[in-house]
Amino acid sequence: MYNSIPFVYPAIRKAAVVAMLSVSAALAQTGPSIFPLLPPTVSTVPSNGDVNPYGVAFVPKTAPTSGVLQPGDILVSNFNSAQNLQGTGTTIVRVDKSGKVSTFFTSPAPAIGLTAALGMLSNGFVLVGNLPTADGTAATAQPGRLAVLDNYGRFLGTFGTLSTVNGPWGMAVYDVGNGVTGTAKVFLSNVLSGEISRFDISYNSQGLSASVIVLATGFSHRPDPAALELGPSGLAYDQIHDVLYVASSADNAIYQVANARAAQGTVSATLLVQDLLHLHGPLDVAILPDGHILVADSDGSNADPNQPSELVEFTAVGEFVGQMPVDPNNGGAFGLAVNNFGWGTFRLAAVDDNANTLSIWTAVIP
Amino acid sequence: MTFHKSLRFLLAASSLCAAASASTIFNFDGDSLGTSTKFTDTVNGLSATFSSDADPGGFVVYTSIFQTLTGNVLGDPGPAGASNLALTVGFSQNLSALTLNFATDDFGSPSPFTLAAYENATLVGSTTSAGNFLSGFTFPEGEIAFAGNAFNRVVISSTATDFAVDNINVITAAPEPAEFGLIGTALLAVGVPALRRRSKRS
Repeated sequence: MYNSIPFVYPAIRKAAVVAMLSVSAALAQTGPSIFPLLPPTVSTVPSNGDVNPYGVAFVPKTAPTSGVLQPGDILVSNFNSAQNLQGTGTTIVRVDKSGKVSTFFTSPAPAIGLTAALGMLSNGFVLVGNLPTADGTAATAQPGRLAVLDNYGRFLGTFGTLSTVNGPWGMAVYDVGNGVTGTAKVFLSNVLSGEISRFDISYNSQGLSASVIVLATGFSHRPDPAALELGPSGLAYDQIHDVLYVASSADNAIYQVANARAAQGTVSATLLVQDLLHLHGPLDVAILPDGHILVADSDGSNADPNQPSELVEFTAVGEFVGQMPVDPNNGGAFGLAVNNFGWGTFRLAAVDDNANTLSIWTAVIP
Repeated sequence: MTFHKSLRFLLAASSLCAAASASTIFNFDGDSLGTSTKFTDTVNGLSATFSSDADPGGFVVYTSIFQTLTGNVLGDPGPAGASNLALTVGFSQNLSALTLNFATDDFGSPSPFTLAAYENATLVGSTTSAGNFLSGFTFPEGEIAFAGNAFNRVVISSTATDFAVDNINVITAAPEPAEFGLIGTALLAVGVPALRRRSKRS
């Protein structure tokens, strides 16, 4: 009944093809060349050798072009250092429109172990969380922080205290800014406390300020020798229905938090789907143009060697639609992000943690 | 002979009045693909200027992927890459009515689509509609109409992320009473002497 997104050689509907070709042809009359095209897969390993890519975020189309970041660029945060110790990576890499990879930001110690809590504001500011360890084990895990960078990769400051930033693990941003000023709701999952925080941010050319609430509590969380930590992870916000989706790696479930934008205090999360057949340590989640949700299975729990590193598609009411592996072995699917181009066309970026790569697809909702 | 000239003038004046209230359609089929806001189209002497807050490039002309919107259509996102935009259309003459076809970028419930009419800065009225999913097509389409006191600008918006419009059919407003007075004076200035001359001959 439900169509799955077309990952491989999509049967793009004729009308959409006609439209895209027409627009492309028209723009080509006065615009720049389409070449070089973004390659489908790029390495996320920067010059310092960091590995284990976690967070993925698209630079919004409103971002000013005066900085290093350009609209449409993709950022990827690295969780491990070159020694492959969890919680010791320091870099955010930038993938530009042609697929060229460069180091955008290097975090100084002790702010190491950059996580999937990675997002952007309309003016090009970057928000990134970290969860540091001393030796790559859960025993030495620390709460970390939520840092703000400008679009040149310069550190501007941090938000939150231990009550609202305690192992930042995933992020969703709802931003109504215009590229210069704006307000944003930044949702942050905390894997060490099992809580979701919401930062209400105002920003302009002079700076930014925030207030914060604990939006939801009680998510299952625990340390894990392989995954380091399991708990509330990736977040995705549906602005039409004011619903926040929470990928819960500890219990292989997706929760939803209603009234997430408007709530003035802590509210209850409800279970959307707990699917032990298709969910294997879900670490990140994104929303497709048609409202379906896309989940990255980390295999950090409930691993199934026959279903390794799956990206799994569900309807908005939690019905399974389809899945596709990003790696032939377990443990490859971590961060992902969707960039909506309008009229059902979107770009999907997802990391392969085993190969330390980022794959990029452009597709149309069938 | 003079009488016949006056008759022709009367017929011409009558035709002009009729033309002033005829319908005019803006369908973007004469625009090049990739034309983006802000731009002006002129049909039958009536000009329509299309613009948005994200210009240059808020909305763009592209080939229809819809059923009721045909040929070229105007929609967002344009080259500026912005969504959630309103489209403003300013006209060179006052209008009394306007209809158009629209499509909204919805996969679930069709989003409300609103047309607000203004006379300069004064809101004349507004109307809201929603499209329907048509068999074989992906996005909801609909038609929206507004008629009322004279207006010379419309602002088109939707809660959908993006929308497209086509076949903007407008009817110019009837001349104001003062304009009728001018036309009448002109007719008298030409017609009465002609009738007098005819009367003298007879």
